[in-house]
Amino acid sequence: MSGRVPRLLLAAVAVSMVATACGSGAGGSSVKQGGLFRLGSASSIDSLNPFVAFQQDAYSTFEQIYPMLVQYNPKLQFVPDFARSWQESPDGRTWTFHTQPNAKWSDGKPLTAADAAWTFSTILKFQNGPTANSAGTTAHMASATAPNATTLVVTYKQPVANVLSQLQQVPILPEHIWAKYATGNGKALTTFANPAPIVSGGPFMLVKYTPKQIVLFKRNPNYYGPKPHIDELGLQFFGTYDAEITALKSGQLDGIETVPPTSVGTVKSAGFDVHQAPGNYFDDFIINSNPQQEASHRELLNPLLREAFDYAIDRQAIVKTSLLGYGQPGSSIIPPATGHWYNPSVTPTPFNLTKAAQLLNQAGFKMGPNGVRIADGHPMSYTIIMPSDTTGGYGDRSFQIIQTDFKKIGVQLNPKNLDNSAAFSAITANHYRNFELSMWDWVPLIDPDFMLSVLTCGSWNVWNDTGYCSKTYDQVYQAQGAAMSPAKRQQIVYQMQRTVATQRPYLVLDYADLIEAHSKSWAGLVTVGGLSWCSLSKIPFESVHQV
Amino acid sequence: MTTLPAGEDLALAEGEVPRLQRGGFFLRVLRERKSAVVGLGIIIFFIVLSLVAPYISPYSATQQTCRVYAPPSPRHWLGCDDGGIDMVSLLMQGGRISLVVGFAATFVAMVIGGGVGLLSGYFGRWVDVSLMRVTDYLLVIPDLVFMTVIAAVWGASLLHVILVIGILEWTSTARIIRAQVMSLRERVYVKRARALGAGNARIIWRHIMPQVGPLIIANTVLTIAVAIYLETALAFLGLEDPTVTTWGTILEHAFERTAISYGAWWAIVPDGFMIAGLIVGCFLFGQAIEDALNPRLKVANLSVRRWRLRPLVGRGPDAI
Amino acid sequence: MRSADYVIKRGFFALVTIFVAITINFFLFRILPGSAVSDLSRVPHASPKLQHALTVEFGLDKPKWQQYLIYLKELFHGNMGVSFTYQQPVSHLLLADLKNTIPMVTVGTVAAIVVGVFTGVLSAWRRGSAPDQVSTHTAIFFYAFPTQWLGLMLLILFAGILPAAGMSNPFVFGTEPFWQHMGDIGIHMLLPAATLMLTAYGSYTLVVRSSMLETLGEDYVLTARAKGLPTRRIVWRHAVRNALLPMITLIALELGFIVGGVLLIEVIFSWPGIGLAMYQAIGERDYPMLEGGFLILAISVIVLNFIADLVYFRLDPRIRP
Repeated sequence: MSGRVPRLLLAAVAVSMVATACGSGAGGSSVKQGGLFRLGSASSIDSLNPFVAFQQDAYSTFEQIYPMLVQYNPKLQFVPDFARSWQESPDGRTWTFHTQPNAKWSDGKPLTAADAAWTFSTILKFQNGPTANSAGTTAHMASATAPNATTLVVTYKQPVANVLSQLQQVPILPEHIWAKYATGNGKALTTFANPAPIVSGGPFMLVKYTPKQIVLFKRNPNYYGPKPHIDELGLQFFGTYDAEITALKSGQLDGIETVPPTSVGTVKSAGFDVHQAPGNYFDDFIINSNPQQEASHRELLNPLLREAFDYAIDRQAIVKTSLLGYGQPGSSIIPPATGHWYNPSVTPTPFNLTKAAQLLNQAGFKMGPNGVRIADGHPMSYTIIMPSDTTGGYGDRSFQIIQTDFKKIGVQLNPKNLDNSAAFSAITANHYRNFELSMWDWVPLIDPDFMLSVLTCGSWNVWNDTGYCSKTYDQVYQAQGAAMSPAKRQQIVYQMQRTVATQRPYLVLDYADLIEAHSKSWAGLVTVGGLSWCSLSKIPFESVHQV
Repeated sequence: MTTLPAGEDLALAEGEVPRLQRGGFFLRVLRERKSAVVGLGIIIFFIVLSLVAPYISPYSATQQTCRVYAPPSPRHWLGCDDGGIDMVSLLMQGGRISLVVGFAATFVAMVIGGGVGLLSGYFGRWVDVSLMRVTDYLLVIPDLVFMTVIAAVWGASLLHVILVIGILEWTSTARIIRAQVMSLRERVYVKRARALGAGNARIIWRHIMPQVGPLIIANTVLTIAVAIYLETALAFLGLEDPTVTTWGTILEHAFERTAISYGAWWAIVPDGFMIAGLIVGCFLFGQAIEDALNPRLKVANLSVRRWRLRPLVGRGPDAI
Repeated sequence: MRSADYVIKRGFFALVTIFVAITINFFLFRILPGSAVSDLSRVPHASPKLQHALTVEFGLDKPKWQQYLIYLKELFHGNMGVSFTYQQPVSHLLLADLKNTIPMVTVGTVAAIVVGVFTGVLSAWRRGSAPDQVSTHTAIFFYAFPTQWLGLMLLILFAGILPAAGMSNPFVFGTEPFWQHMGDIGIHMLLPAATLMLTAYGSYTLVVRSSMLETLGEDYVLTARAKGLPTRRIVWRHAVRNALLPMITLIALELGFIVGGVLLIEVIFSWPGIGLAMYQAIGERDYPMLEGGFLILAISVIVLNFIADLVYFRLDPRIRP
């Protein structure tokens, strides 16, 4: 169950986070020490190699075992991780980080700024090949050097507005383990499986990994930061939510990552702590926006058609039935959960079939035989690509609701189920000319840069799944990336959201809430961005302790 | 599994006049065996239920009419599913489509099997040998797994499910037809017809087909049971169009949307009983006919493909 | 001579069937569909090096007939391509999964046989009476319930009492004592094996019952009874022995059903076997895994059939090859 996640991703940002009495991991003697925290996941880890992995659980794992320069705190501010402090040069092109002195890896070798410099330099060096997945995080970076063991200097070719957000995502790897794979063309970087036990630098060491079943961690005695209260941590993978929830209820787990909407009530009444937060996540309906698309469905470019589709989507029903109320109707591609980046003037389009029908009539698409309208001489019957991310869960329900409503206004939707990779190939086929519609989802980062970049021409065949390409949009996107004044940047970001909402390459269906649960015998499990097990912060699992 | 010569099992004794004269046979079966009556009754019940479903269904089977996973109540006797859709209506509607799938898949299987059996039995020799070899191979390869991969590659849709079941379940039909055809081919009257100049097609149509009628019916009914069973399995694995309501997709939705940890047993239990009910009905009826046709169909009949809930039942009152 | 002939003949048949399965597999996954399925090198997020290696290994740029031969060759070396999801060799992943499936299937099938024989004998012995009716009709009903439904029912009934998922408690840091670990697996195996037993035993009951009835009506049994030999010995000596033959045939015929049932059961109980692997491969559209899974399961069934043939032959020398 992963939304499409950019290499290093995610997470939702919660608007209000609960910081418990234990605060951020302060190892007070009043707090009970020790224990094993057993976490359940309905997803999986695909690889333990940071250059290969794509699944969210893998990124969250890296967060726990590797140092990052910075991390988020429950208030979504940047706080120290491996870097204790940092400065930005006046021209915005040089960043200096002061890293933890006398730090060690779990095998006793020194953990210094040199490891960080090596990691970033390696990503830069092979960004067109083996490290391409991570290359987004080092965009515009010129160099990364470590003049001494506790100083890291990163220079950029141009001012970059979201340096911290990018660098937060990069796990710093032990040079003494990985250097031998970075020789030659660096291809060995992607074939190295990084098996357990892993030489770790974070609060935990990865000691055991059985694919699709379990990953086990032990407290890292050499960790430079606040020592976790727990001794051991485990993450068990389940094939179905039912199995996971049954395990929670019968005491085989202490917490689960994601509670599906249909189970929230049961878990609550079984006496578990359930934490719900708006999710930095949205489900979307995609309309081919390539001006060069096949003539046989070029009417999809018609703004009246797009507006009609927008009105024909019953977002309230989707939230109520698919998400069981644990979510909000969707509007902007920058979700409200990102906080101040969301443009509040972009609101969800109300559900109005009459208006939708009216708009289609206005566009001249008359109702034809069999209740299907005719547009430019052919029936409005479209193939909608459904990747496996969307199907098999509540996505089926959402689609059913949309399909039934669209039928009422004379538009027929024919689903075509494909795996994620094949779906993306189908969308990008023939330079985005062939596909008509699709349904997918996004997990934007907190910083809006990534999500906005998806709609650029440069993101064609990379992340762009709409065929949208506009020079104006690209220019505005560049401007926001270079805007050094936060107020100015926000203004541009707001403007871009309005543009997207008017041009409608995406119809945002809903923002699903993030819901997690844990047993009441544990406390201190704060959430960052709505999740405790996430790739944004080490704080939750440093703070959790037995009651 | 062909350790037993296929031709022997179902053949009537040499010279024995087939007692297969249309209506009289069926009435006799019904009179003699209670199980046949029960079975036929169940089948008819489900068919009728499917036909009148759109008229007597209390609520819509596609629109939400209650809370998600609402428990059984006076207004909704079997509660509602994960989409807030009334369970009773869903089961009725699902029954319709399940039956359609069952019949359609069986039709495909009958056509293929009948054709293969006819050709094999009538022409014999190398045609027979090669066709039967093919049948043997297909018999051994596990059918659900095979169907699963075909459907996974082909794509999830109702039509694909129907075809996939049909193209793997024809073997039993083929063997039965083949055996009958082979024995009947030697009958005096066929030889006489041929002597009179009747062509192959005419002989097949006029003389052989009517004799195998009841056997085909029995086989059809049993294949329908198998088809319905397989449809639920394929739907459960996610290989059927989830927007279509069948008994199989009802179970699949319940499973995917955590009905068990929710405690929504009503989304699961009645569905199973419907499926089992129909399958048992088909089984009882089909079994009864097969027994009546040849009480010596004993253990030897294991050469027929297993999926047929087919046992080997004893004689007379011991038969099931 | 005769037995050698028979073994060779059945062995040859098994080999040909394996070959047919392999060919069907190739046809299904490489010839028919679009490149989304047939392109083994289309491993998502894979490095170009890996993709190129696969193209070379499987001759994906060569004509189809050449690909077929290369496919056979690679198969012979145990190379079934790379999983789209895990970027690891399919054969490693699936064989590890198969090791988990085998104990569960064995326990479930043996249980089904035992229960089936027991109820079948009971039914035949008490023919016509209430226990017979109940036993037989129960058998039919359990047989008719979809396997997945039976699994869900057991889950509903025993969810809090028995483990509902997985093969063993995974939160074990060191190595557990052997017997404790076995016990752990055993407890986790109860529900899945019980489901398999319930779904499969019905047909065994019916077979055993009818074949026992056959035997009980046979002349030599009537003779023995006339001679005054204790009836119990008759039943156990002759009838059950004679019921074994059709049982074996049925077990062999049922293998396809059992394998299908295992697929469904592993999904419900998250049992980390080959069935669950295939189910996840369906969801993620991991075609090389599906291709490999089908082949492994088909070959297993073919081989088991062959073994059943041999056992059958051993028990019944009346068989002519």
